[in-house]
Amino acid sequence: MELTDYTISFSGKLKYAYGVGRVRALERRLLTKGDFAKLLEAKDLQEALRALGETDYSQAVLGAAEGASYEEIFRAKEGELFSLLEELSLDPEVTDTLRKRYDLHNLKVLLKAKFGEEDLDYLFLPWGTEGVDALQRAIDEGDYRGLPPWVVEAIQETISSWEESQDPVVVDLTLDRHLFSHLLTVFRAAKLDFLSGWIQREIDLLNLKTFSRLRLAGAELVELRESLIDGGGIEPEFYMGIFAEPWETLPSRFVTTLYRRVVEEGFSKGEDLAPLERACRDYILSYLRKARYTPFGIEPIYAYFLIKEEELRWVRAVILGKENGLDPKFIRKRLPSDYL
Amino acid sequence: MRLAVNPTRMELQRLKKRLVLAHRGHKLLKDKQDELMRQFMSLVKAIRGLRQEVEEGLELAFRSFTLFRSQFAPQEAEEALALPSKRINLQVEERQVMNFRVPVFTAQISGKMRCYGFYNTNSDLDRSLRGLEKVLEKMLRLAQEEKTLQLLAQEIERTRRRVNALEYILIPSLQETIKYIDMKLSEMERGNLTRLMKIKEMLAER
Repeated sequence: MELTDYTISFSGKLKYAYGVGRVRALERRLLTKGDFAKLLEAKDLQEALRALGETDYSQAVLGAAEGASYEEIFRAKEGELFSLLEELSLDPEVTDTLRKRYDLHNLKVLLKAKFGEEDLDYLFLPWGTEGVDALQRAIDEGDYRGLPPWVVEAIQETISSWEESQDPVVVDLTLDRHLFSHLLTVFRAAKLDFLSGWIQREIDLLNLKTFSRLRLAGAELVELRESLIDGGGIEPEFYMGIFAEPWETLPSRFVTTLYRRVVEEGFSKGEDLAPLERACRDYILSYLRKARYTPFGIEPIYAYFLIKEEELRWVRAVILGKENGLDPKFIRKRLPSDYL
Repeated sequence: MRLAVNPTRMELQRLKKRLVLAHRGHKLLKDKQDELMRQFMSLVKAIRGLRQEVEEGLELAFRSFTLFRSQFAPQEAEEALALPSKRINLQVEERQVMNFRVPVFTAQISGKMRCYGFYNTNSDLDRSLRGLEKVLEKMLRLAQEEKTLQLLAQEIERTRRRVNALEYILIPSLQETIKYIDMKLSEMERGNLTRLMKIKEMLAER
């Protein structure tokens, strides 16, 4: 199945006029290439924090000066972002999908704690839509009351897969598959072509990265099939058909897909996958930026959230890199082109 | 330093025997020290290359892990590795070298290194774990060799102390004591002779 560019529909979306206006104003505060250049060129952590203090993160940096750890700062910033989302969202069933990956994370923590017989409570993240207690009850006692069907199915299938294989990879793959399938279902049901297109592209690029990582690890074809996620624009069979081909011929295989440039840039450094991961991020960011052309609707809000999350991820990377004395060239190599 | 002994012939005989024994012990210990030093130097040479390889491998693995860790929340990074499937069963045996025991590590490694899915992880984590897997056996060998080296160094130190104690304390003090007893006995001999001559002279005068 080939993806085509989404079409913009204005009908019934005027209710988002305020939200979109607010997001448009906030977009101006997103970090620029210049901000990231200052952060990367900072001599040490203190100088990087000073540079960050001159941006939208000034409050967070102030918190750091008062003794908060950097992770607490990033978490506070994420909290701000979720509060904003709650404030602007008029379709919680759609915007809640942005929290689903935290449900997935908490599910993984709970299931791994159960299978490994370890206490991993300190790994929970607070932004999920389902309470940790409800998830815990479902896993320990089989009490699925109040949980959405996709979570119930995900838990049941993961437990039975684990009993069969005792393989932790299967735990992650089963849960990931359920998450993507759920997101796709929600967006399709809400007739949100832009977000369906986004999640399909995410699936395609995740499959592309999985394909490349497994090739590099010398995995078997059967492992590839088990690891690919359905629902993207490119069928898993396509990847299986080219799994044994040499790296040099791979770009020609993607010429007719949306990811021609991603693959060309991504495989330019041979077996180093950092350029591929960066090209994938660039592609997704450029897709999300198209939401700016949507005058009204949930899409610009959703896209702003994702772009801000990406920004937060890279601010964290630069700050932690500085803290650990990492050469900025390693971060620069991975940083999306938007920030370079 | 002279030993506190009675200057008797019996003591002299005993000390002379001890001196011979001390000389023999000194020679044996000196030979042992030389052999230990030889083994130590060859082990140092072998370990230097191995340590460099391990350090380079670990640097690469840690750098990749830091890169992975910096791109995700700490909870996400730790969750990815929360259920490891790689198992290492390490058996520690001992082998006799000279008169001390050195450890021999035997590792039984099973399971896959990768224990996570592909969503919310990246190739930096793959590279980090691949790097660790590559240096794991070398690290075990290095640990074994470095422990041997450490024990060897302790043994060299102990032997050197014994050699020095014999060479600079026991043998000189035995020699000094023997010389002292010898002189004392000679003096007693001369005293006796003088006394006997005097008695003989007195008897002759009567």
